[in-house]
Amino acid sequence: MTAVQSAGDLSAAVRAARDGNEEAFRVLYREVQPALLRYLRGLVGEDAEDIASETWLQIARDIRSFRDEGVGFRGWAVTTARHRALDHMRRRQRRPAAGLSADLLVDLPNEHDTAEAAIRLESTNATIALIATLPRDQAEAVLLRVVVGLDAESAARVMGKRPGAVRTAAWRGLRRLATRLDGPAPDVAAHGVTPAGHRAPKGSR
Amino acid sequence: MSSHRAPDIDRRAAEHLLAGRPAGHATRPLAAALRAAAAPAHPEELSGERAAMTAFAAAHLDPVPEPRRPSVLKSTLAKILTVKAAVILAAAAGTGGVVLASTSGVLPAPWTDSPADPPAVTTPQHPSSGKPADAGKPDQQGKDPSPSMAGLCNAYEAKVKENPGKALESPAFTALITAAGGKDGVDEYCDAVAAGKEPGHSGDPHGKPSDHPKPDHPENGSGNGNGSGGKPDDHPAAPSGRAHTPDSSPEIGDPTAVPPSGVPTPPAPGS
Repeated sequence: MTAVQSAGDLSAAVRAARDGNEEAFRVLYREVQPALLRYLRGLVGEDAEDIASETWLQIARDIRSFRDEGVGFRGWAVTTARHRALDHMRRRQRRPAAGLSADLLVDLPNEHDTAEAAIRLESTNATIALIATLPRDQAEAVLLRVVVGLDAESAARVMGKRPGAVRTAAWRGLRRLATRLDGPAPDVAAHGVTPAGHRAPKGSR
Repeated sequence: MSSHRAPDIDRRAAEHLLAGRPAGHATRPLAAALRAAAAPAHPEELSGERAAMTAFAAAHLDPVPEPRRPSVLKSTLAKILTVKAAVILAAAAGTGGVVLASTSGVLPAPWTDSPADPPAVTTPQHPSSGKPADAGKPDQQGKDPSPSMAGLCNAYEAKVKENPGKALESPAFTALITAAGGKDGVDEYCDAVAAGKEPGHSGDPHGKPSDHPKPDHPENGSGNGNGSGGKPDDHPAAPSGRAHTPDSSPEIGDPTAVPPSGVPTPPAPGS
Protein backbone atom coordinates (compact mmCIF):
# COMPACT_ATOMS: atom_id res chain seq x y z
CA MET A 1 0.00 0.00 0.00
CA THR A 2 2.93 2.32 0.10
CA ALA A 3 2.77 5.01 -2.48
CA VAL A 4 6.29 4.57 -3.67
CA GLN A 5 6.19 0.99 -4.74
CA SER A 6 2.96 1.21 -6.68
CA ALA A 7 3.25 4.68 -8.14
CA GLY A 8 4.09 3.32 -11.56
CA ASP A 9 1.22 0.88 -11.56
CA LEU A 10 -1.18 3.60 -10.56
CA SER A 11 -0.32 5.95 -13.38
CA ALA A 12 -0.96 3.19 -15.91
CA ALA A 13 -4.26 2.40 -14.22
CA VAL A 14 -5.18 6.06 -14.17
CA ARG A 15 -4.59 6.34 -17.89
CA ALA A 16 -6.68 3.29 -18.63
CA ALA A 17 -9.47 4.37 -16.28
CA ARG A 18 -9.63 7.75 -17.95
CA ASP A 19 -10.34 5.89 -21.16
CA GLY A 20 -13.20 4.11 -19.45
CA ASN A 21 -11.51 0.86 -18.48
CA GLU A 22 -13.48 -0.56 -15.58
CA GLU A 23 -10.86 -2.98 -14.35
CA ALA A 24 -8.35 -0.19 -14.16
CA PHE A 25 -10.76 1.81 -12.07
CA ARG A 26 -11.21 -1.17 -9.81
CA VAL A 27 -7.46 -1.31 -9.31
CA LEU A 28 -7.46 2.34 -8.34
CA TYR A 29 -10.29 1.83 -5.92
CA ARG A 30 -8.67 -1.10 -4.18
CA GLU A 31 -5.34 0.65 -4.04
CA VAL A 32 -6.53 3.99 -2.74
CA GLN A 33 -9.76 3.39 -0.84
CA PRO A 34 -8.26 1.95 2.38
CA ALA A 35 -6.00 4.96 2.85
CA LEU A 36 -8.78 7.31 1.84
CA LEU A 37 -11.15 5.78 4.34
CA ARG A 38 -8.62 5.86 7.16
CA TYR A 39 -7.74 9.45 6.42
CA LEU A 40 -11.42 10.38 6.50
CA ARG A 41 -11.91 8.43 9.70
CA GLY A 42 -9.23 10.56 11.26
CA LEU A 43 -11.08 13.68 10.17
CA VAL A 44 -14.78 12.94 10.53
CA GLY A 45 -14.92 9.74 12.54
CA GLU A 46 -17.93 7.55 11.94
CA ASP A 47 -19.13 9.50 8.93
CA ALA A 48 -16.04 8.46 7.01
CA GLU A 49 -17.79 5.69 5.09
CA ASP A 50 -20.41 8.05 3.73
CA ILE A 51 -17.89 10.68 2.75
CA ALA A 52 -15.74 8.03 1.10
CA SER A 53 -18.70 6.84 -0.98
CA GLU A 54 -19.45 10.37 -2.09
CA THR A 55 -15.81 10.86 -2.89
CA TRP A 56 -15.73 7.84 -5.19
CA LEU A 57 -18.84 8.97 -7.00
CA GLN A 58 -17.08 12.21 -7.71
CA ILE A 59 -13.83 10.51 -8.68
CA ALA A 60 -15.72 8.23 -11.06
CA ARG A 61 -17.23 11.26 -12.71
CA ASP A 62 -14.21 13.50 -12.78
CA ILE A 63 -11.39 11.11 -13.52
CA ARG A 64 -11.59 11.94 -17.20
CA SER A 65 -10.56 15.47 -16.46
CA PHE A 66 -7.90 14.50 -13.94
CA ARG A 67 -4.55 16.03 -14.72
CA ASP A 68 -1.65 15.17 -12.51
CA GLU A 69 -0.57 18.42 -10.94
CA GLY A 70 2.23 17.06 -8.85
CA VAL A 71 0.43 15.06 -6.20
CA GLY A 72 -0.55 12.10 -8.33
CA PHE A 73 -3.84 10.27 -8.32
CA ARG A 74 -3.54 9.55 -4.62
CA GLY A 75 -3.12 13.20 -3.80
CA TRP A 76 -5.97 14.17 -6.08
CA ALA A 77 -8.29 11.57 -4.61
CA VAL A 78 -7.43 12.53 -1.08
CA THR A 79 -7.89 16.21 -1.91
CA THR A 80 -11.34 15.41 -3.24
CA ALA A 81 -12.11 13.55 -0.04
CA ARG A 82 -10.71 16.38 2.04
CA HIS A 83 -12.96 18.97 0.45
CA ARG A 84 -15.96 16.83 1.15
CA ALA A 85 -14.87 16.21 4.71
CA LEU A 86 -14.34 19.91 5.33
CA ASP A 87 -17.79 20.68 3.89
CA HIS A 88 -19.19 18.05 6.15
CA MET A 89 -17.50 19.50 9.20
CA ARG A 90 -18.67 22.97 8.24
CA ARG A 91 -22.24 21.73 8.13
CA ARG A 92 -21.77 20.11 11.49
CA GLN A 93 -20.07 23.26 12.75
CA ARG A 94 -17.21 21.25 14.11
CA ARG A 95 -15.01 18.24 13.82
CA PRO A 96 -16.57 15.36 15.70
CA ALA A 97 -14.99 14.90 19.09
CA ALA A 98 -12.64 12.00 18.75
CA GLY A 99 -12.99 9.93 21.85
CA LEU A 100 -10.75 7.02 22.46
CA SER A 101 -12.79 4.44 24.27
CA ALA A 102 -11.34 1.80 26.52
CA ASP A 103 -12.39 -0.77 23.95
CA LEU A 104 -10.36 0.92 21.29
CA LEU A 105 -7.34 1.23 23.48
CA VAL A 106 -7.28 -2.49 23.97
CA ASP A 107 -7.06 -2.89 20.23
CA LEU A 108 -4.02 -0.70 19.80
CA PRO A 109 -1.15 -2.66 18.37
CA ASN A 110 1.46 -4.00 20.67
CA GLU A 111 5.09 -3.16 20.27
CA HIS A 112 5.76 -6.84 20.16
CA ASP A 113 3.56 -7.24 17.14
CA THR A 114 5.94 -8.15 14.42
CA ALA A 115 5.84 -6.66 10.99
CA GLU A 116 5.11 -10.08 9.57
CA ALA A 117 2.07 -10.78 11.70
CA ALA A 118 -1.20 -9.98 10.03
CA ILE A 119 -2.50 -6.70 11.34
CA ARG A 120 -6.10 -6.89 12.33
CA LEU A 121 -8.73 -4.41 11.26
CA GLU A 122 -9.30 -3.54 14.90
CA SER A 123 -5.68 -2.57 15.37
CA THR A 124 -5.77 -0.34 12.34
CA ASN A 125 -8.98 1.33 13.42
CA ALA A 126 -7.80 1.80 16.99
CA THR A 127 -4.66 3.51 15.78
CA ILE A 128 -6.61 5.76 13.45
CA ALA A 129 -8.90 6.64 16.35
CA LEU A 130 -5.84 7.49 18.43
CA ILE A 131 -4.49 9.71 15.67
CA ALA A 132 -7.91 11.35 15.44
CA THR A 133 -7.48 12.66 18.98
CA LEU A 134 -4.66 14.90 17.77
CA PRO A 135 -5.30 18.51 16.76
CA ARG A 136 -6.53 18.52 13.21
CA ASP A 137 -3.41 19.74 11.43
CA GLN A 138 -1.27 17.22 13.27
CA ALA A 139 -3.70 14.40 12.60
CA GLU A 140 -3.89 15.31 8.94
CA ALA A 141 -0.15 15.59 8.56
CA VAL A 142 0.43 12.20 10.17
CA LEU A 143 -2.34 10.53 8.17
CA LEU A 144 -1.27 11.97 4.84
CA ARG A 145 2.33 11.01 5.39
CA VAL A 146 1.92 7.62 7.05
CA VAL A 147 -1.40 6.29 5.81
CA VAL A 148 -1.73 7.85 2.38
CA GLY A 149 1.99 7.65 1.81
CA LEU A 150 2.52 11.18 0.54
CA ASP A 151 5.81 12.98 0.98
CA ALA A 152 5.93 16.25 2.86
CA GLU A 153 5.64 18.31 -0.32
CA SER A 154 2.57 16.48 -1.61
CA ALA A 155 0.94 16.46 1.82
CA ALA A 156 1.58 20.20 2.02
CA ARG A 157 -0.11 20.71 -1.32
CA VAL A 158 -3.13 18.73 -0.23
CA MET A 159 -3.38 20.70 3.01
CA GLY A 160 -2.62 24.05 1.42
CA LYS A 161 0.33 24.65 3.70
CA ARG A 162 4.07 24.92 3.33
CA PRO A 163 6.07 21.69 3.52
CA GLY A 164 7.92 22.94 6.59
CA ALA A 165 4.65 23.52 8.40
CA VAL A 166 3.48 20.02 7.55
CA ARG A 167 6.76 18.50 8.73
CA THR A 168 6.43 20.29 12.01
CA ALA A 169 2.80 19.30 12.43
CA ALA A 170 3.63 15.65 11.75
CA TRP A 171 6.55 15.76 14.16
CA ARG A 172 4.42 17.26 16.94
CA GLY A 173 1.73 14.73 16.21
CA LEU A 174 4.15 11.84 16.56
CA ARG A 175 5.48 13.16 19.86
CA ARG A 176 2.00 13.43 21.21
CA LEU A 177 1.12 9.96 19.98
CA ALA A 178 4.21 8.52 21.62
CA THR A 179 3.18 10.09 24.91
CA ARG A 180 -0.30 8.66 24.65
CA LEU A 181 1.01 5.25 23.75
CA ASP A 182 3.39 5.33 26.67
CA GLY A 183 0.67 5.32 29.28
CA PRO A 184 -3.09 5.26 29.43
CA ALA A 185 -4.90 8.53 29.34
CA PRO A 186 -6.42 9.43 32.73
CA ASP A 187 -10.04 8.88 31.70
CA VAL A 188 -9.17 5.51 30.29
CA ALA A 189 -7.32 4.53 33.45
CA ALA A 190 -10.49 5.28 35.36
CA HIS A 191 -12.13 2.50 33.40
CA GLY A 192 -9.60 0.08 34.70
CA VAL A 193 -7.90 -0.77 31.47
CA THR A 194 -4.44 -2.17 31.88
CA PRO A 195 -1.72 -0.11 30.34
CA ALA A 196 -0.57 -0.78 26.85
CA GLY A 197 2.10 -3.42 26.84
CA HIS A 198 0.44 -5.43 29.58
CA ARG A 199 -2.55 -6.50 27.61
CA ALA A 200 -3.50 -10.08 27.31
CA PRO A 201 -2.11 -11.40 24.08
CA LYS A 202 -4.62 -11.89 21.33
CA GLY A 203 -4.64 -12.52 17.69
CA SER A 204 -1.84 -14.28 15.95
CA ARG A 205 1.59 -13.85 17.33
CA MET B 1 2.30 4.67 36.44
CA SER B 2 4.60 3.96 33.57
CA SER B 3 8.06 2.78 34.32
CA HIS B 4 9.62 4.69 31.46
CA ARG B 5 9.07 8.07 29.94
CA ALA B 6 7.82 8.63 26.47
CA PRO B 7 10.71 8.89 24.07
CA ASP B 8 11.77 12.33 23.10
CA ILE B 9 11.41 12.09 19.36
CA ASP B 10 13.54 14.53 17.45
CA ARG B 11 12.74 15.68 13.96
CA ARG B 12 15.05 13.21 12.34
CA ALA B 13 13.53 10.28 14.17
CA ALA B 14 10.12 11.62 13.22
CA GLU B 15 11.02 11.62 9.54
CA HIS B 16 12.24 8.05 9.85
CA LEU B 17 9.00 6.98 11.48
CA LEU B 18 6.87 8.84 8.95
CA ALA B 19 8.65 7.01 6.18
CA GLY B 20 8.05 3.67 7.86
CA ARG B 21 11.64 3.18 8.98
CA PRO B 22 12.65 2.17 12.50
CA ALA B 23 13.92 4.92 14.74
CA GLY B 24 15.30 3.15 17.72
CA HIS B 25 14.14 0.99 20.54
CA ALA B 26 12.34 3.71 22.44
CA THR B 27 9.97 4.40 19.59
CA ARG B 28 8.93 0.82 18.99
CA PRO B 29 5.37 1.19 20.33
CA LEU B 30 4.83 4.20 18.11
CA ALA B 31 6.34 2.40 15.14
CA ALA B 32 4.00 -0.53 15.72
CA ALA B 33 1.02 1.81 15.82
CA LEU B 34 2.04 3.52 12.61
CA ARG B 35 2.45 0.14 10.97
CA ALA B 36 -1.08 -0.73 11.93
CA ALA B 37 -2.31 2.59 10.56
CA ALA B 38 -0.65 1.88 7.23
CA ALA B 39 -1.52 -1.80 7.11
CA PRO B 40 -2.57 -3.39 3.83
CA ALA B 41 -6.21 -3.19 2.93
CA HIS B 42 -8.66 -4.98 5.16
CA PRO B 43 -11.50 -6.54 3.16
CA GLU B 44 -14.07 -4.62 5.21
CA GLU B 45 -12.64 -1.38 3.94
CA LEU B 46 -13.50 -2.25 0.36
CA SER B 47 -17.21 -2.73 0.89
CA GLY B 48 -18.06 0.22 -1.33
CA GLU B 49 -16.41 -1.24 -4.38
CA ARG B 50 -19.56 -2.20 -6.19
CA ALA B 51 -21.09 1.22 -5.72
CA ALA B 52 -17.92 2.85 -6.98
CA MET B 53 -17.81 0.60 -10.03
CA THR B 54 -21.44 1.31 -10.85
CA ALA B 55 -20.80 5.01 -10.59
CA PHE B 56 -17.84 4.62 -12.90
CA ALA B 57 -19.88 2.70 -15.45
CA ALA B 58 -22.61 5.31 -15.36
CA ALA B 59 -20.17 8.18 -15.70
CA HIS B 60 -18.34 6.64 -18.61
CA LEU B 61 -21.13 6.02 -21.03
CA ASP B 62 -19.74 7.47 -24.16
CA PRO B 63 -22.02 10.00 -25.78
CA VAL B 64 -20.73 8.78 -29.12
CA PRO B 65 -19.38 5.29 -28.55
CA GLU B 66 -16.59 3.93 -30.63
CA PRO B 67 -17.52 0.95 -32.71
CA ARG B 68 -16.63 -1.68 -30.19
CA ARG B 69 -18.53 -4.77 -29.21
CA PRO B 70 -21.78 -2.87 -29.21
CA SER B 71 -24.31 -5.45 -28.22
CA VAL B 72 -22.37 -6.90 -25.32
CA LEU B 73 -21.46 -3.49 -24.02
CA LYS B 74 -24.91 -2.09 -24.31
CA SER B 75 -26.77 -4.99 -22.87
CA THR B 76 -24.36 -5.13 -19.96
CA LEU B 77 -24.73 -1.46 -19.32
CA ALA B 78 -28.44 -1.74 -19.62
CA LYS B 79 -28.60 -4.41 -16.99
CA ILE B 80 -26.23 -2.67 -14.66
CA LEU B 81 -27.65 0.75 -15.05
CA THR B 82 -31.32 0.14 -15.03
CA VAL B 83 -31.18 -1.90 -11.87
CA LYS B 84 -28.15 -0.99 -9.86
CA ALA B 85 -27.70 2.65 -10.67
CA ALA B 86 -31.11 3.51 -9.40
CA VAL B 87 -30.40 1.78 -6.13
CA ILE B 88 -26.92 3.15 -5.71
CA LEU B 89 -27.77 6.65 -6.72
CA ALA B 90 -30.80 6.64 -4.54
CA ALA B 91 -28.67 5.54 -1.64
CA ALA B 92 -26.07 8.16 -2.42
CA ALA B 93 -28.67 10.89 -2.51
CA GLY B 94 -30.15 9.73 0.74
CA THR B 95 -33.65 9.85 -0.63
CA GLY B 96 -34.84 7.16 -2.90
CA GLY B 97 -38.16 8.71 -3.68
CA VAL B 98 -37.55 10.49 -6.91
CA VAL B 99 -35.47 7.88 -8.62
CA LEU B 100 -37.72 5.06 -7.61
CA ALA B 101 -40.80 6.94 -8.63
CA SER B 102 -39.35 7.73 -12.00
CA THR B 103 -38.56 4.13 -12.72
CA SER B 104 -41.69 2.56 -11.39
CA GLY B 105 -44.08 3.81 -13.98
CA VAL B 106 -46.11 6.16 -11.84
CA LEU B 107 -45.21 9.13 -13.95
CA PRO B 108 -47.40 10.19 -16.85
CA ALA B 109 -47.62 8.20 -20.01
CA PRO B 110 -44.60 8.46 -22.18
CA TRP B 111 -45.06 9.50 -25.71
CA THR B 112 -48.21 11.44 -26.27
CA ASP B 113 -49.10 13.50 -23.25
CA SER B 114 -46.36 16.00 -23.28
CA PRO B 115 -47.15 19.36 -24.85
CA ALA B 116 -43.63 19.55 -26.13
CA ASP B 117 -44.19 16.43 -28.17
CA PRO B 118 -46.48 17.13 -31.06
CA PRO B 119 -47.87 13.77 -32.08
CA ALA B 120 -47.98 12.26 -35.49
CA VAL B 121 -45.09 14.00 -37.02
CA THR B 122 -44.59 12.39 -40.34
CA THR B 123 -41.97 14.52 -41.94
CA PRO B 124 -38.35 14.33 -41.07
CA GLN B 125 -37.47 16.94 -38.50
CA HIS B 126 -33.80 16.59 -38.12
CA PRO B 127 -31.72 18.02 -40.89
CA SER B 128 -29.44 15.10 -40.41
CA SER B 129 -31.98 12.58 -41.57
CA GLY B 130 -31.07 10.91 -44.78
CA LYS B 131 -27.56 12.18 -44.81
CA PRO B 132 -25.21 9.56 -46.11
CA ALA B 133 -23.04 10.02 -43.06
CA ASP B 134 -25.93 8.93 -40.90
CA ALA B 135 -26.90 6.01 -43.01
CA GLY B 136 -23.40 4.71 -43.12
CA LYS B 137 -22.67 4.65 -39.41
CA PRO B 138 -23.90 1.36 -38.13
CA ASP B 139 -23.16 2.02 -34.49
CA GLN B 140 -24.46 5.45 -33.93
CA GLN B 141 -25.83 6.12 -30.52
CA GLY B 142 -29.25 7.07 -31.77
CA LYS B 143 -29.90 3.77 -33.44
CA ASP B 144 -30.25 1.71 -30.34
CA PRO B 145 -30.74 4.21 -27.65
CA SER B 146 -32.92 2.68 -25.04
CA PRO B 147 -30.50 0.96 -22.66
CA SER B 148 -27.91 3.69 -22.79
CA MET B 149 -30.49 6.38 -22.51
CA ALA B 150 -32.02 4.81 -19.44
CA GLY B 151 -28.57 4.79 -17.88
CA LEU B 152 -27.90 8.34 -18.89
CA CYS B 153 -31.19 9.38 -17.41
CA ASN B 154 -30.32 7.72 -14.14
CA ALA B 155 -26.97 9.44 -14.10
CA TYR B 156 -28.60 12.71 -15.03
CA GLU B 157 -31.15 12.50 -12.26
CA ALA B 158 -28.45 11.84 -9.73
CA LYS B 159 -26.46 14.77 -10.98
CA VAL B 160 -29.42 17.09 -10.92
CA LYS B 161 -29.94 16.43 -7.25
CA GLU B 162 -26.38 17.29 -6.57
CA ASN B 163 -26.00 20.29 -8.78
CA PRO B 164 -29.22 21.30 -10.52
CA GLY B 165 -27.77 24.17 -12.49
CA LYS B 166 -24.84 22.43 -14.05
CA ALA B 167 -25.94 18.89 -14.55
CA LEU B 168 -26.32 19.15 -18.28
CA GLU B 169 -23.02 20.88 -18.84
CA SER B 170 -21.20 17.60 -18.66
CA PRO B 171 -20.25 16.33 -22.09
CA ALA B 172 -21.44 12.94 -20.94
CA PHE B 173 -24.99 14.12 -21.45
CA THR B 174 -24.58 15.37 -24.98
CA ALA B 175 -26.31 12.34 -26.36
CA LEU B 176 -29.10 12.70 -23.86
CA ILE B 177 -29.66 16.33 -24.79
CA THR B 178 -29.61 15.46 -28.46
CA ALA B 179 -32.10 12.68 -27.97
CA ALA B 180 -34.37 14.90 -25.92
CA GLY B 181 -34.24 17.62 -28.53
CA GLY B 182 -32.62 20.15 -26.24
CA LYS B 183 -31.73 20.82 -22.66
CA ASP B 184 -35.27 21.85 -21.78
CA GLY B 185 -36.64 18.55 -22.86
CA VAL B 186 -34.39 16.28 -20.86
CA ASP B 187 -36.60 16.00 -17.79
CA GLU B 188 -39.64 15.06 -19.79
CA TYR B 189 -37.63 12.79 -21.95
CA CYS B 190 -36.23 10.89 -19.01
CA ASP B 191 -39.67 10.61 -17.49
CA ALA B 192 -40.78 9.11 -20.75
CA VAL B 193 -37.89 6.70 -20.90
CA ALA B 194 -38.51 5.60 -17.34
CA ALA B 195 -42.21 5.14 -17.86
CA GLY B 196 -41.85 3.66 -21.30
CA LYS B 197 -39.59 0.81 -20.38
CA GLU B 198 -41.57 -0.25 -17.39
CA PRO B 199 -44.88 -1.62 -18.70
CA GLY B 200 -44.60 -5.24 -19.55
CA HIS B 201 -40.85 -5.34 -18.98
CA SER B 202 -40.86 -6.61 -22.56
CA GLY B 203 -38.85 -9.65 -21.60
CA ASP B 204 -36.09 -8.44 -23.79
CA PRO B 205 -32.73 -8.86 -22.13
CA HIS B 206 -31.47 -5.89 -24.06
CA GLY B 207 -34.17 -3.74 -22.62
CA LYS B 208 -35.21 -2.63 -26.05
CA PRO B 209 -38.84 -1.61 -26.10
CA SER B 210 -40.59 -3.36 -28.88
CA ASP B 211 -43.95 -1.74 -28.87
CA HIS B 212 -43.24 1.88 -29.44
CA PRO B 213 -40.95 4.06 -31.48
CA LYS B 214 -37.34 4.52 -30.60
CA PRO B 215 -37.19 6.67 -27.52
CA ASP B 216 -34.66 8.99 -28.99
CA HIS B 217 -37.44 10.57 -30.92
CA PRO B 218 -40.24 10.93 -28.45
CA GLU B 219 -41.92 13.48 -30.64
CA ASN B 220 -42.47 10.74 -33.09
CA GLY B 221 -45.76 10.17 -31.40
CA SER B 222 -48.59 7.82 -32.06
CA GLY B 223 -46.28 4.94 -32.63
CA ASN B 224 -47.39 1.54 -31.48
CA GLY B 225 -46.73 -0.32 -34.61
CA ASN B 226 -48.75 1.56 -37.15
CA GLY B 227 -45.55 2.46 -38.84
CA SER B 228 -46.80 5.77 -40.15
CA GLY B 229 -44.78 7.71 -37.65
CA GLY B 230 -41.52 6.30 -38.83
CA LYS B 231 -38.86 8.71 -39.83
CA PRO B 232 -36.01 7.80 -42.06
CA ASP B 233 -33.40 8.13 -39.38
CA ASP B 234 -35.29 5.78 -37.17
CA HIS B 235 -34.35 2.97 -39.40
CA PRO B 236 -30.83 1.89 -39.22
CA ALA B 237 -29.25 1.22 -42.49
CA ALA B 238 -27.96 -2.18 -43.22
CA PRO B 239 -24.28 -2.47 -42.49
CA SER B 240 -23.59 -2.25 -46.17
CA GLY B 241 -24.36 1.41 -45.87
CA ARG B 242 -26.80 1.39 -48.72
CA ALA B 243 -28.88 4.54 -48.98
CA HIS B 244 -32.49 4.33 -48.01
CA THR B 245 -35.25 6.53 -49.19
CA PRO B 246 -36.99 8.85 -46.79
CA ASP B 247 -40.40 7.33 -47.39
CA SER B 248 -39.42 3.76 -46.88
CA SER B 249 -41.26 2.06 -44.09
CA PRO B 250 -39.03 -0.71 -42.94
CA GLU B 251 -41.13 -1.72 -40.02
CA ILE B 252 -43.48 -3.27 -42.46
CA GLY B 253 -42.03 -5.43 -45.08
CA ASP B 254 -38.43 -4.39 -44.86
CA PRO B 255 -36.52 -7.38 -43.64
CA THR B 256 -33.25 -5.52 -43.74
CA ALA B 257 -34.22 -3.11 -41.00
CA VAL B 258 -32.26 -4.88 -38.36
CA PRO B 259 -29.98 -2.91 -36.15
CA PRO B 260 -26.49 -3.72 -37.25
CA SER B 261 -25.42 -3.91 -33.65
CA GLY B 262 -26.67 -7.44 -33.59
CA VAL B 263 -29.61 -6.76 -31.35
CA PRO B 264 -32.47 -8.68 -32.87
CA THR B 265 -35.56 -6.69 -33.62
CA PRO B 266 -38.82 -8.45 -32.99
CA PRO B 267 -40.66 -9.17 -36.20
CA ALA B 268 -42.94 -6.41 -37.38
CA PRO B 269 -46.62 -7.17 -37.48
CA GLY B 270 -46.69 -7.31 -41.23
CA SER B 271 -43.76 -9.59 -41.87
